[in-house]
Amino acid sequence: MENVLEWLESSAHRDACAVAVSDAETSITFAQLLDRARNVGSFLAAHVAPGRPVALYLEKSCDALCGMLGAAYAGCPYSVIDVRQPAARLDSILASLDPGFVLTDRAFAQLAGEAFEHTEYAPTPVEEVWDEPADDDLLAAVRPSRESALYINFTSGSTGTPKGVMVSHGSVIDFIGHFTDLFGFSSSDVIANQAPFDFDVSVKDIYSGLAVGAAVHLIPREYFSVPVQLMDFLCDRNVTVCTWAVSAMCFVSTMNGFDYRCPDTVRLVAFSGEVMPPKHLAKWRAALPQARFVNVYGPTEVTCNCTYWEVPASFDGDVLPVGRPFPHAKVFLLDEDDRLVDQAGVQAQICVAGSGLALGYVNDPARTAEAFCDNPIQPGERMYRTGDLGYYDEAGDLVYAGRADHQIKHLGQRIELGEIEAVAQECPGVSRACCLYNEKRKRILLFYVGERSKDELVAYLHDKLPSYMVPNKTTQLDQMPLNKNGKIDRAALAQL
Amino acid sequence: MEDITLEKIIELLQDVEEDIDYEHVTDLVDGKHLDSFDIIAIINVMSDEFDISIPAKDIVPENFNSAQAICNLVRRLAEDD
Repeated sequence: MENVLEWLESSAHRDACAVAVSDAETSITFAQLLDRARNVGSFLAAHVAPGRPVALYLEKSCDALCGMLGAAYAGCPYSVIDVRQPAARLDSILASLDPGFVLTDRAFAQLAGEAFEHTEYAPTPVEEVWDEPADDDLLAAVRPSRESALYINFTSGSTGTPKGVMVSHGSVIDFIGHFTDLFGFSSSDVIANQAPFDFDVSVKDIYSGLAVGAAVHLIPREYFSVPVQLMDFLCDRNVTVCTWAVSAMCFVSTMNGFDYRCPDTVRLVAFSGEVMPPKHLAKWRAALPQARFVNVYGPTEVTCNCTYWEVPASFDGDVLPVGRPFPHAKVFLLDEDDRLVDQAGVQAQICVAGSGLALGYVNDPARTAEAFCDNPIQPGERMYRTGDLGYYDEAGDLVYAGRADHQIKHLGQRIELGEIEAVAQECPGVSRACCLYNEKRKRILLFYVGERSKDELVAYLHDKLPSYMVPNKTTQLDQMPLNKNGKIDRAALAQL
Repeated sequence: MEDITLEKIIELLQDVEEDIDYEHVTDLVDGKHLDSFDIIAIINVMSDEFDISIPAKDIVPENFNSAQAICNLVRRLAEDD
């Protein structure tokens, strides 16, 4: 296979009238999706050079998917930008991405017009370009290869600016191929998409559906505030597969969703993004005894996931391993001197090689060279240092053991506390800032020194950061507690 | 168990998300002052503090749009128990 578009084409060829994707308001078939994506691709190919990113400023929807696959047909990587981004962060993403074109949809056209008013871009609703018939010769000329970038996902960056992880068609083909094979996906599956399209958990839903010809049902974001709507959605649509973030699963169990209705058609639950709390997994397993539960692990830079561990029926422990590598991935532990660690119980950094590795960070060769380095165990091979710590258990399964730095997972989002600190310290009147994360209560805490009032600093952060990164509690201090080396004493801050 | 007063509910809410004027805001969910994860945090805090279980059918925006609505919900569930 050369590109993910072959999945769409073969699914449309096999069953043109089957539902490919469905949102709260509408459904489209594989034939419609193929037709619209090709038309959008042809339009984009006439306006943007292959390889130049296309930004999509919209919410997840059937229309959004037409735009994403349209960009792929034009040989361009797409990047879905959260419409809730504050203006400053949107500007930072645009500066890093340097898109050749911006698509939106009619629902967000006005918002997009306002958000991009001060830029060189004029967002175009995708609906306005998908009726123009495609130029076959043009599409053939820009057809992407395995090495072409498919998408760019922005994640938090410790220096204060987000970084765009660029992933190839080949990486997605290899990961999704193994993911759908190992967990028995077929065209009769009904996949319930939880994650927004700017979050790489959604890559599993979208491309698993395309690969096997299964329908992907997009759960509206607002249903994750109203459990009865969410449970009705899962039950009424006979959902069979949930590949969700752990935080979304905890929502269902905390909100007692299963006491209201149980989606007993679910056969597979694959969860990722954070460590699954055992009491929440227990509620899910009790409610869905027929389902397989799989813990999948991996940062965006390795294309969704690199390891998996299926929860055995007899499991009643507190520690869920992340398991063994997918067949296309090489996952190993290196100590501080880059020596391979393979004995059980010894903690070291999780490193990944193989065809799932991202191409790098968009328009940032320095960061790319730093993060994707030569494998010291096998020189000549690219390797990614995850910054995650892990160890092998007695059965030989890998167990995640936290971070080597100050990166956190909060509400399913990967956040560098350093990015929040850097942005806070850019605020005039703030001389020093330090962020902590209260893991138990899932709260981000910011401490700062400076003359700027707390309310002014919070307002400043709201202007610069997405809402999930704005600290839940901000505390002004006369001075930062320091340890004997002159560094901020985080342990002392945690006691405040 | 403590008395379920509006003042106590507001104190607990401020511990979850401090930068909201709980005494006056009446569209906490509809106005997007709270997202689903804030609601989870509120449910956990209220359940722990008042030893109640909040059923899924009661987790609707109108029960979480104001501190008074949350207070009414908690009182009703505590009485039912």
